[in-house]
Amino acid sequence: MGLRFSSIKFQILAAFSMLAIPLLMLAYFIFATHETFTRTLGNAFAREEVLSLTASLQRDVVDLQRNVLIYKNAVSSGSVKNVEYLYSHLKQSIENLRAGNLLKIYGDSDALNGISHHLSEYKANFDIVVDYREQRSRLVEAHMAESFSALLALIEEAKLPKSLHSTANALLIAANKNSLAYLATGDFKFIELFKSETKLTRDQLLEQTNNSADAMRLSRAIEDYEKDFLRIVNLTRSYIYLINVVMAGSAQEIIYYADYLAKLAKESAAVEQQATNNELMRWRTLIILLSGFGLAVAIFVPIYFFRLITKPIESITGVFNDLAAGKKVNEIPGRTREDEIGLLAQAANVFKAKNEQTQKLLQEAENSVQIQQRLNRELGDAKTRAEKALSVKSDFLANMSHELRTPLNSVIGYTVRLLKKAGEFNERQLSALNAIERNGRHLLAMINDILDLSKIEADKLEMNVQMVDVYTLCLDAVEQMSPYSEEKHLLLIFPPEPTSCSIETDPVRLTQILINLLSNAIKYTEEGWVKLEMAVNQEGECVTITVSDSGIGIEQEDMGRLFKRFEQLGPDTRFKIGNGTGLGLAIVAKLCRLMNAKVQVESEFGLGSCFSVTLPFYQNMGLAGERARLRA
Amino acid sequence: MQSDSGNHPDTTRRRLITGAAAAAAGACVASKAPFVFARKKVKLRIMGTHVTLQEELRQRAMADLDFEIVYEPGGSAAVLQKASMFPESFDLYEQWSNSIDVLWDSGAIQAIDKTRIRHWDEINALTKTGRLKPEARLGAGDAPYKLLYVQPGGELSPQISGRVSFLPYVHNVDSFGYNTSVIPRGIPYETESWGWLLDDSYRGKVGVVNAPTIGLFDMALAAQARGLMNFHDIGNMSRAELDQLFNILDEKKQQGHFNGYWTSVPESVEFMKKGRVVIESMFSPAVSSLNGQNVPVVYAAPREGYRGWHGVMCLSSECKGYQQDAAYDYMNWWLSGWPGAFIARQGYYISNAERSRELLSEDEWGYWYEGKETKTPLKGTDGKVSVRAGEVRTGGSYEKRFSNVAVWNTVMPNYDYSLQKWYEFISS
Repeated sequence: MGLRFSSIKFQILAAFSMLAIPLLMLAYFIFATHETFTRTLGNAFAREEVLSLTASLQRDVVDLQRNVLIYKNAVSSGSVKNVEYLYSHLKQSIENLRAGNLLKIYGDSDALNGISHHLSEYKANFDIVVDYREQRSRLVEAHMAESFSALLALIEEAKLPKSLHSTANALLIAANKNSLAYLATGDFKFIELFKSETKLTRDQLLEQTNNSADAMRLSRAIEDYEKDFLRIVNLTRSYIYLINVVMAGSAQEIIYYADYLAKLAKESAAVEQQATNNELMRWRTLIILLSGFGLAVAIFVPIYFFRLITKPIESITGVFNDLAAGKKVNEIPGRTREDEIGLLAQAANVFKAKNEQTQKLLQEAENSVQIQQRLNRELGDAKTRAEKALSVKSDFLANMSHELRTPLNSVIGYTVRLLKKAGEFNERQLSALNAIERNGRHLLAMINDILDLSKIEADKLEMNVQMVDVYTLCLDAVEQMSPYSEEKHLLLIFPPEPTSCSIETDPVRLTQILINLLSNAIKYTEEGWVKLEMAVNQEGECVTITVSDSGIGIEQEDMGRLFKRFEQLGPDTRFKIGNGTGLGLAIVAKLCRLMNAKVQVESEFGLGSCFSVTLPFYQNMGLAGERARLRA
Repeated sequence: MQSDSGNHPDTTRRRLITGAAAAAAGACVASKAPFVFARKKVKLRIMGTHVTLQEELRQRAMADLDFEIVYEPGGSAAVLQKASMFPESFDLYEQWSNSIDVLWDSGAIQAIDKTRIRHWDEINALTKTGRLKPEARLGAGDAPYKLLYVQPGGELSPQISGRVSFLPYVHNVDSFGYNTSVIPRGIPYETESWGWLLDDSYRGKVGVVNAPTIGLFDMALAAQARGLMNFHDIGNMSRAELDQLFNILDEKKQQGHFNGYWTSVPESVEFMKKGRVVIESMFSPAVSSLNGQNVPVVYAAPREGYRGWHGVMCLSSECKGYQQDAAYDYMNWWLSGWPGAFIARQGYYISNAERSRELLSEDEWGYWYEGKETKTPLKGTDGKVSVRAGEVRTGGSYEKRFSNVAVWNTVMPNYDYSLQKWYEFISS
């Protein structure tokens, strides 16, 4: 089943994906929360730095102002040094603020630029103040000492009317006093008084002397003196203006901007705290929702799969168990489903059908077995009865043979004794006696054969197994049969065997086999030869004894019934050949079976026959190897 | 006093100077090209504030005058101090009439020869007599006419003479500006009042110009408008009055009433633009600039009258020879029409307005000078629309505004004392 939506595979995958979603989201939230925390912490440090730097900035500006005031009043070199130090410290603070991250976040460089601008203005103005203050000090010193003394000396030296002399002197002293009063109080009215007194002095000098050379010179000196003083006034006003207005304004702006930055930092702290809180609350809500979702999925998925998989499987397992127990199953659950369970149910349905079929077959087989058993029983009974009948028959035959042989031996014996007295009988009698003997013997042989066959079939023939030299045995058989061959002018050939061999067998029964074969060969050969050969196979497992002839041969159709009881060749042959019991080859075959030997025949009708007997060296060997060889 | 430059009768003398004269002036120059050399050598240095030292004016002046001009704008207090101490550092100084006393007394500037000012006769009566119309208020403090004429003794007085301490050119009336997105718009001359500057409703959002000779009067007018105190002569406050005024201001300061003290026009624009203040002492270009940036600022027409100011162009006492010729050329250029039209667009008046009239559109003239409604949007000097169609200038026409001057920017006799009080005020 592919990855279809209805498949369990897909649903398991989907269920695990659902479980993975809250996990992934939780991991993301943890990272995000951590990031928020780190950012907030970083900003808090930066803010703390801004607050500390702005506070230091304000402290420094206040100190700066204090030192400037000290300088303004006392012209102390220490305060100049302090101002220099504070200025560089302030600059450093500004640089630190500028380097900090937080102000970049605010995106407000104006405040810092404002501080920077006002600070450099402040410092530039302070340098001017120092310059002015020093100039003023020098000028004031001169104004208070040598300039005024020189002016008075000049008046003293000038040729002036006495009254003018004292007036000018008094006016200048008054002007000087007023100038000093201005320097002490900073009151503008003293300048006005100073200016009017010097002007009056000059006017009176020029007026009362009619612009005399001395008066002119004196007037210019007074003018210089006045200019020097006004320069002092201007310097004083200038540096006071710079300190009181310009620098104070700059200081205020620096303090304002520092305040502004601190406020910005504090506001951003509040805003950030709120934002962080909101963010964390949002995360928390989401985490709770996701955890709930995860929990629901975790509860739902097992229940779902219990209903989807476990329960149907249990039902189907029950079906299998029922089927196995042979119980009747009506309906298999889930057959209509389109997933794997549906397939399983369908498979169970197939199994159910097969099971029903098997049950039917089993029932049928059981019936057959019962019939078979009954037949077997009947067969056994029949067999027993047959065996019993066969045994009765054999016993009858053995008894019959024995009973027949006894009188027959007497007949033959007496006939032979009569024949030994040949001279006592005429030709005709002799012929009759010979016939009696011949037929008696034939009858005896027949009875013997029947007896043997009966014993074999009644399993009463006992084998006398011993080691036998095959060549010697064969030679004996050939010698026994040579009179019969000579009688028919046949050549009986038995080639000398350079290597003889000994085998485990019954010599009497082997001899019987050979005699039967040889007598058959002589019987069915009118002219030519009969040959007996022996050969040991290459492996040394068995020996084959062959009896061949140049006789009438056997027709192909007769080959099948050759070794059956009471079977002789066709009536024509029987007619030509004459007597025979028809039991010879049957006995050969039976004996061979008992001796674990194998008998074979090859023949070509009209040309001769060849019978071969293959004997194992040892009885327990059988002829497996030989059979295998023959097959090969 | 510093009147050693009054003997150059011809403003174009520089152009007629001979090669020998140039050599005598210390320049080694080929006699065939003295004129070119002389013109190229001049570099006129002008110190002042952003109010008049604007790049467009400089470029135009250089193009018209064919010599180099350098502007050194700065904060009003700083440049005044620099100018008064170092006359060698500038050729011309442009500021307000209240700086004349300081500059004149310190000897930083020299008298200007009226005869070398080509359009002197066109300069209106405001500077010459103090009144545009006989019935106009004169205004307390140092009205410019009181400081204009240089007397033979070196004093400055309204007494007409041949030499003047400054060239009258740009002038205006100042008040305060307020942001109408926060403060409801008032009615000019009726509800709009200096008192708003001390209104507790705007605590923490009030700006003041950091200049005692200007800001002090804004505060004094405000305190007076709110009935917190009265002045015998607002243009010449006594020590006791100053003490009382600053007591009021210090108390307000302690309550966090004032947000900042600005020293330059761009700074005052930033204050308002950034929301530091919603009401503050202002100069007209700052209002135009803010309106151009869509900050709805109204320049009030206070019912108590304006604080007047008069631009002064002063000649450095160290400016001589070719530099001085160039300086006179520059002064004459200012009264030649174009500059007056230019500064009219940021709300300033020029002393010989008729010469600029032809360079202004009818709507511009109507709006800026006559207090009429404009039918078309008017652009400021920065090219941005600063006046929308249908608007009327607050305070009305030139005459009306200058008939309502309560006080002029002034250096009072108690200036030194006010400096001390000012320090206490802004540092408290």
